[in-house]
Amino acid sequence: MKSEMTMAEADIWHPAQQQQLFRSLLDAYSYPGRIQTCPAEPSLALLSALLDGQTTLSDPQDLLPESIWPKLEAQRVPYELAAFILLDGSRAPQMVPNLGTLEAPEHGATLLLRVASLHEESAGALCLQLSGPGIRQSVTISVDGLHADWIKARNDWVSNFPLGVELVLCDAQCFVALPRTTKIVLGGSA
Amino acid sequence: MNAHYELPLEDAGYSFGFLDEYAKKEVRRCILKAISIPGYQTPYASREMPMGRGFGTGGLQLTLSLIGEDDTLKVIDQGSDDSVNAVNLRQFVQLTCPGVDVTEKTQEATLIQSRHRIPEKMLTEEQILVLQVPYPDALVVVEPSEARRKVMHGEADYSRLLVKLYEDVVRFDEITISHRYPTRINGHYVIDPSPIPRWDVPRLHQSPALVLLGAGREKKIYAVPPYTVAEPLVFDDIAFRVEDFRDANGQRIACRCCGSTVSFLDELIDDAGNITHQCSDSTYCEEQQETISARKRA
Repeated sequence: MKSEMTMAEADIWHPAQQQQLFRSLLDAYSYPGRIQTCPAEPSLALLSALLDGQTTLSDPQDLLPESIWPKLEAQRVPYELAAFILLDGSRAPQMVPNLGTLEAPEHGATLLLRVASLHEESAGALCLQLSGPGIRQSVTISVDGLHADWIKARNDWVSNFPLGVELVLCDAQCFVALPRTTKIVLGGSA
Repeated sequence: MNAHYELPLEDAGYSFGFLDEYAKKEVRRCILKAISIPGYQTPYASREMPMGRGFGTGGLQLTLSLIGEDDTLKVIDQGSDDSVNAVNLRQFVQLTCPGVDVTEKTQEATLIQSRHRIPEKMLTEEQILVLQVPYPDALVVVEPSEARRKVMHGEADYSRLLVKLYEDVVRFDEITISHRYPTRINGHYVIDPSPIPRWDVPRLHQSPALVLLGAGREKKIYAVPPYTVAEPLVFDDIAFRVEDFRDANGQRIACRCCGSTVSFLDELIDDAGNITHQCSDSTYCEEQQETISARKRA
């Protein structure tokens, strides 16, 4: 188990692997609700593919091992200033992240939430009905290990478009992106 | 580009895709924000490329940040795979991205970089279209200050642009914009969809493929995500219309090469001074001709 982890982690720092990670992330953003599989632990793999010294990261719950920080190169900043935030999705949201401004909505944060598992359709505990850009016909996904308050808070944060945040939900193998344009209805029809 | 040109490799060499990994990561982060805020011009640090700004450096930086070894690239310029700009960019990608395949066939490509046209053949979910943009901001004709344009975009305040269109209607009885037609994405931001003809604008609407637009000189990236509403800016009583290819008798003009009556046509004047028409999308035209000759043989 331990050696598998290190192998997977060694891969995600390679530029060719990061390009492929980015392309699956691009698909996830283009078609929200499509669950993408990831060759390594998704939350760390995606951070490795996106971050460098120019970006800011917040890890308020200390989910990342200290040894990873130098590799990610990202600046460690408080929650409300961070461009990327890594959080445990099973705990309720505490604070409002950066939502961007009217002139610069791209400063709205990207939140990576670790959850227990992601399912297509309604096998999981929390059903999310999704519609909006990138979704031809509304789809339902479901999540285990996501606090329902996250969706309520997120819907509040994105209510003044173009301000808002992007959510990326990551379980142990897969991830799904929920850009600010995606309309999420809790407990959507199966 | 000189066909015998080789990149200088005496130092550390160039990384795959010419751009360093930091540059690619920045472009990638901007692409994701651009998709999340459809039509918003995301600023980025456009890098110096070994070609002049205005020759597709914005599109090229997008392509180089997206491309991987298993991609197949098609590059077109005004619908043609063989014009100077397209050949240059394609050669540059082949030089800097070993292992990448190039193609002229629209359906074979996973990545399509284009200048001023969207291919006639319907794109699929497996494809990404990258458009080169000279002027990204549709509001620049009515507001010179970028700071004020940013506020107007944020508030989705396009009243002055509509006044400009209205003035056209008053003066000429029709909106006179031939290309770069202002298009509203997802009901909020109005974009300059790059100098594509009006003909191509409806194809941005609910496109199965992701469309990314890159302006290298103006340092902006924006996107039309798949399955997104893209409406040309019009008035309730004046409908948007595409180029009219009917002759004086009301007959649809056909392409002189393949005879197609459903494609976007370029107007050409031959040596004798006669006006003729030909498909703008050269690959589409060739495929039509092949189908016709195959049918004749059969």
